[in-house]
Amino acid sequence: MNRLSFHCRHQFPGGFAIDAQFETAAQVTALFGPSGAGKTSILYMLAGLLRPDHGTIQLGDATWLDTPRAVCIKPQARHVGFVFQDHLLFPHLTVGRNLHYGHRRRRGSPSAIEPQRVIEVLELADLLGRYPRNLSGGEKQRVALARALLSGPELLLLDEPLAALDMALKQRIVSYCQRVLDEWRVPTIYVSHQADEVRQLAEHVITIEDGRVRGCGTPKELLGGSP
Amino acid sequence: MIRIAAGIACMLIASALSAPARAQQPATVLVFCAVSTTDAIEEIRRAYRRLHPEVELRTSYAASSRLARQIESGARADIFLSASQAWEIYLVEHGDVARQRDLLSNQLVIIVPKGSNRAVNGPQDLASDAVRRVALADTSSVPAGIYARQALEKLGLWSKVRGKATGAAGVRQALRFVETGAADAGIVYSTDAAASQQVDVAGRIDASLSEAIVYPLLLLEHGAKNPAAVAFYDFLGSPDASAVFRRHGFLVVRPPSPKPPE
Amino acid sequence: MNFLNYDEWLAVRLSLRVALLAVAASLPLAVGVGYVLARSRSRFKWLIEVLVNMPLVLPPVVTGYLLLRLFAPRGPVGQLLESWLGISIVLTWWGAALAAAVVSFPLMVRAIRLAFQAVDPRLEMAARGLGAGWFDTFWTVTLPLARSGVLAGCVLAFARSLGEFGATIMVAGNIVGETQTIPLAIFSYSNRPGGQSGVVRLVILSIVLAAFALLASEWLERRHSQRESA
Repeated sequence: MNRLSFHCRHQFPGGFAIDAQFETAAQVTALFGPSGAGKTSILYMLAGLLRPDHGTIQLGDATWLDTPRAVCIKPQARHVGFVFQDHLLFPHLTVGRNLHYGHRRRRGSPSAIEPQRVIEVLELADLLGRYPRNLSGGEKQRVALARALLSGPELLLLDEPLAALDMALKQRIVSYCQRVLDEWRVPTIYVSHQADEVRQLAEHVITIEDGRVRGCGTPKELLGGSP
Repeated sequence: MIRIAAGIACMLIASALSAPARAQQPATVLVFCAVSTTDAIEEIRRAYRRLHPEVELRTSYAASSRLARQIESGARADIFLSASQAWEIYLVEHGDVARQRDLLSNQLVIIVPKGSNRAVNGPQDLASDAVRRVALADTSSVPAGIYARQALEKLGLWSKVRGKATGAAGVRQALRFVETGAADAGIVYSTDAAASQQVDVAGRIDASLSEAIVYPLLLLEHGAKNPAAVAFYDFLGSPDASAVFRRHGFLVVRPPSPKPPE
Repeated sequence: MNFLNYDEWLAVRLSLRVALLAVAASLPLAVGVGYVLARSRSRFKWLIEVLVNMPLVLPPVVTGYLLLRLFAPRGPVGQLLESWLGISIVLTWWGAALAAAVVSFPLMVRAIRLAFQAVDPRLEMAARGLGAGWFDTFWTVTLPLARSGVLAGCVLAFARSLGEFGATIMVAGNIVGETQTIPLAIFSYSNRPGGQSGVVRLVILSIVLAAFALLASEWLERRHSQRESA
């Protein structure tokens, strides 16, 4: 498992500032903390969608960001799979086309991620011909997950994927996530403010509060309670 | 929303209150003039304002065809200085004219862009292949264009030139086409050519080739009821005004000698 | 076609040709400018806006006069055209298309800009995250989603080009068969005694053409929105 190291500082207009540093080599790392803590911003920085004022980001041997040396790899070159809170599926494309979008553009990596298998695991076979506006919330999130996976990422970033779903659905989607993580073992950063999800999915937890890292450890250490 | 309504109400009230004040404003005279007289009339207007500051002269310059149509449709013009007698006759038949006299005359000249090296010395050169575009005002409605066409027809050149004509909306626009080089040559009034620094006169169109280029001055029915308009109508025939016209290149028609009483 | 005489028929064909060329030629630039105005947060955005909207607030004859001064053989651009390409576009139907394009450009940009503003910029982010470069994203995500607005801009510009008069006559003159578009033909006919019937025919035709354009845009928009919105 490649080591991910992150150390960035960023000042937002309006006062909020992020100053966070962490390292992880776990397969599933959770960024845990209350809403507004800056978890999503950190994820955007990892993806290259937000360029921090200062910082370095490294995954294994690859340097994604190094502001002193003016290095900043573009998002499309970072091989990151991003699942947004509101899925952001392309409304003008069918589910099948949405899935195909990232898959067609994956760089280099002879990815072991087979489209057929992804569709099987996430049970999307019946949905391929439909348009996003005709899907339910849970279905949309599954498609978003599959789409991110199919772009052959080296790092999977999930931004509160369950936030928009109701309780019953959450559990179902968590189990889908579990299946995906078990099957393909893609290094994943999982952002959430819900302890249950974190306990279930994460191996390593980093707590974020007010733009800073407050602590890190196993779910048991930081969150206690039974999974 | 209420503030907008209040604002509008204030504006309406203000304009209503100012309306009576307008009635005490200077007497206005609306003068329609053919475009080719623009510069001369403007100078006369300034002179007249010094003499009669209580009179407000409003002028509208356009092709005579357009102005005539507007008068026919009911425009409240007092005086019309037309570039052709055809429109004068038209309006007389329509019953719009109270008094009339022939005021000015003009000449047609051939112009080329300043410094042009194309060999244009007379109307016959307009038919040559070296001249691709000839700037003429619309030859079926604008007087300058009509006169130009008549001359070319009489010289037997129209069939060759008509395909090159630009169909400008007015004679000043024809002048622009030549100034900017869009047309290789053009036919405009000598007064227009004199007003521009960007064209050279390459030749003249003899007056006998077209119908007489006369600028009738018409006092319209509406103007006959307006003492200020009548005064200006007379002023346009005065020696002072004639001097201005001559300075701009027009020929002034001598008024017919008064008939001896029967 | 017995409804129109030959000259009138020429005017119709010319009008359509001029309007189509005007729209086609200004579309790429309008899309680019519209996108920049929709997404940019630069301090100099206002400058572009002012330039683009100029033809909207200037009287068309003024626009036409400026174009004539620029593009005539003695004007700066006209001189370049003559020396590089040996062509002159004033007093030709190309000039008419130029006048129409300039005058309708602000309308096109306005509609296109609105269309781009309506596209969620986060969808563009999602595409970038999936490996699409800047132009790839624009072509496969932004533009398809803005399509109906772009089309609306085209129709608006087309209709405006059909009706353009002041700038056209300034730049292209009124040459039957070459630059006499429908509005110019109406102008000529209305200046002639007895031209009334020609005017009426051409006016009817103008209305019919405009109605067609609007119906077409309606239909296109409906078809597009049926496959739209998540």
